[in-house]
Amino acid sequence: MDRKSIVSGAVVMAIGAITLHQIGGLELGDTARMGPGFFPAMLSGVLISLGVGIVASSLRTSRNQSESGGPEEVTSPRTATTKLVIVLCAIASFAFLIGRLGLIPSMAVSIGISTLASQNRDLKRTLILVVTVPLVSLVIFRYGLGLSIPVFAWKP
Amino acid sequence: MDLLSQIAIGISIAFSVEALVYCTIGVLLGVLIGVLPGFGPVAAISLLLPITFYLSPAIALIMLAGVYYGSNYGGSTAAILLNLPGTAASAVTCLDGYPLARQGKAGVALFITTIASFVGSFLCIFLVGSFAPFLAEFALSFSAVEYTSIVVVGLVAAATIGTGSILKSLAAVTVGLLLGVVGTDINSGLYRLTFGMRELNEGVNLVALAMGIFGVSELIANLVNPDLKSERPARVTLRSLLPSRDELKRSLAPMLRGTGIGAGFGLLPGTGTAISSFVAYGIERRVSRNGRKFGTGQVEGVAAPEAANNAASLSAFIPTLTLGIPGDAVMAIMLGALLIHGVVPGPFLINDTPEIFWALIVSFLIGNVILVVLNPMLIGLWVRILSVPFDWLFPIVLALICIGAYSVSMMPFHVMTVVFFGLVGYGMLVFGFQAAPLLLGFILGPILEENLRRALLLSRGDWYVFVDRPISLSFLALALGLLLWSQLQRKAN
Repeated sequence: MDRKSIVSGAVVMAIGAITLHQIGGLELGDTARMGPGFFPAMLSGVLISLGVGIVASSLRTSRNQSESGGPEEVTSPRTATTKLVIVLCAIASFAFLIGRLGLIPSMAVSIGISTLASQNRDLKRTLILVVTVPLVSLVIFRYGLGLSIPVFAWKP
Repeated sequence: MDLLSQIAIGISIAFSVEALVYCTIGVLLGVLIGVLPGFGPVAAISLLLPITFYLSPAIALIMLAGVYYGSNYGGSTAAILLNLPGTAASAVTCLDGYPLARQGKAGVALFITTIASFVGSFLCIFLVGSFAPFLAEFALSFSAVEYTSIVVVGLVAAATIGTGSILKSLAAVTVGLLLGVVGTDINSGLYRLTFGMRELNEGVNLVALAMGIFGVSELIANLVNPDLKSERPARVTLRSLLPSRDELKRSLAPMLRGTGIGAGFGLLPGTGTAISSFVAYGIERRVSRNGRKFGTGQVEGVAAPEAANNAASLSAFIPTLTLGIPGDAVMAIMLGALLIHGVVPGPFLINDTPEIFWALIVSFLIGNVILVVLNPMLIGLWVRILSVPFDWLFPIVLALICIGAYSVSMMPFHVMTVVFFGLVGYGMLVFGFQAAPLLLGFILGPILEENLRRALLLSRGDWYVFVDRPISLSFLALALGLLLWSQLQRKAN
């Protein structure tokens, strides 16, 4: 039993089911005159069938043959998840702060958070990055490309 | 307007100062990103997409194309110097390129790569220029029925490349199609799948999606599995750059063979440049006199795949531009970029806006010349960049992603979209789903729906029409054939 495939198949089916639910109110119409709900409903059906197929095929393959679809796991799953979360938080923090604090502060915070994901912590490197990257971004995007992103702001 | 004046206009655009500047920037950026292990041409183009918004469609395409083949070259450079392919297609170049480098002939390998790439692109340009308008003429006779079928072929082809499970790739395609549905329905004006979020009324943003699924997930993957650099980069002196006469002579035929193979494979929707390189290498090994010594540093083993992947990159533009069916993820993003600029790929592209088409073709030539001229001088720079630790690089890339996503429409929502798809992309990587089919589904979704609806409207709900019309039938048969063939291939492995 290939656990990854079972989870994959379940997720695929779930996506199909959620979609079906979300287009609940939309008219399906008939084949000749497709309503707004027709295409997505059709796709949901396809997805659910594919999900079933994925689960079914995983039940057939034996343990030895389980496919290696993912990258080879060099680091532990916990470290991997931590890094994943750090990177995503770094980007999310930018999204959260850019409107409130402007380009420089939000970029600095974002970079700062991202350096936490490095294998070996280096305070000097972090400081250099936190200071120079926002400035370089400012030059490239504001002056180089003419984007009017506020540099500093205060709208908490 | 006759053909010659169209070409003339294209030439004038391609040689304009603006075009030359952006072409050079694109090529250099492309090589830079291609050299960096862990970031392929797809990530590179996704990251640079926002910058192209402020350019006219022709210039934007020229720059993105420059990034594309620049990154192919960069990937080969990394393959030769470090035995670390920067792109999937350059994995083959490692086989004979790296041994050459270890023998102190890194310069020779790089030089042959440059020449082979140039030859591949140059010859293919004529192919594209002559074949594409012809194909566009033919495609003008397509109705919605044929379009639906050919989109199906493209989607199936997308699902069958790569090595993962076909079911999973088909699921990825379908999810991509559904993502394409998100937004406002053209016909009814109703919101579909927007989950009540106003920002989704215009649909999922392509740039955010591409950056998240390709850029962020690759970034995280590289962080999680740090690249183990095998050896120190081989030294490259200027004198070692030039190959011997014999080596040049031996490379000529492989280059030509590689070009032919690449041109052929690039044309087929769904097959990417990687396959062309592998096939070219395999064939060259069987055909060449030194075939048995491949793997020890034979120039033929570098010349053939390099010519092939450049030829394939170029001829992949043919189905993308003339039919609107992208061959791989890179082409899909190019298509998306065109759509963003309001240019609709398809047979009408060549007819309505021939200057874009010809400007692009001519710029291929210019870009490759720039590559040939600039790269020998910059190799030292690339080598130095290769030794910058990833811990310095990834925050910079992160910053690029953040600002790029934000700059699309100054909405933090799109940055959060990147976060969401970064998670999705990484999840797909871990569970063995391919991301490229999803992107293709996303881009082709609206096209598929519109044509399907129109086809069924015209046939009054009769599905039989898809097999009744011969062209459509052959496309669908092709799709089925692709499915069966790749299923057999997987069983054989």
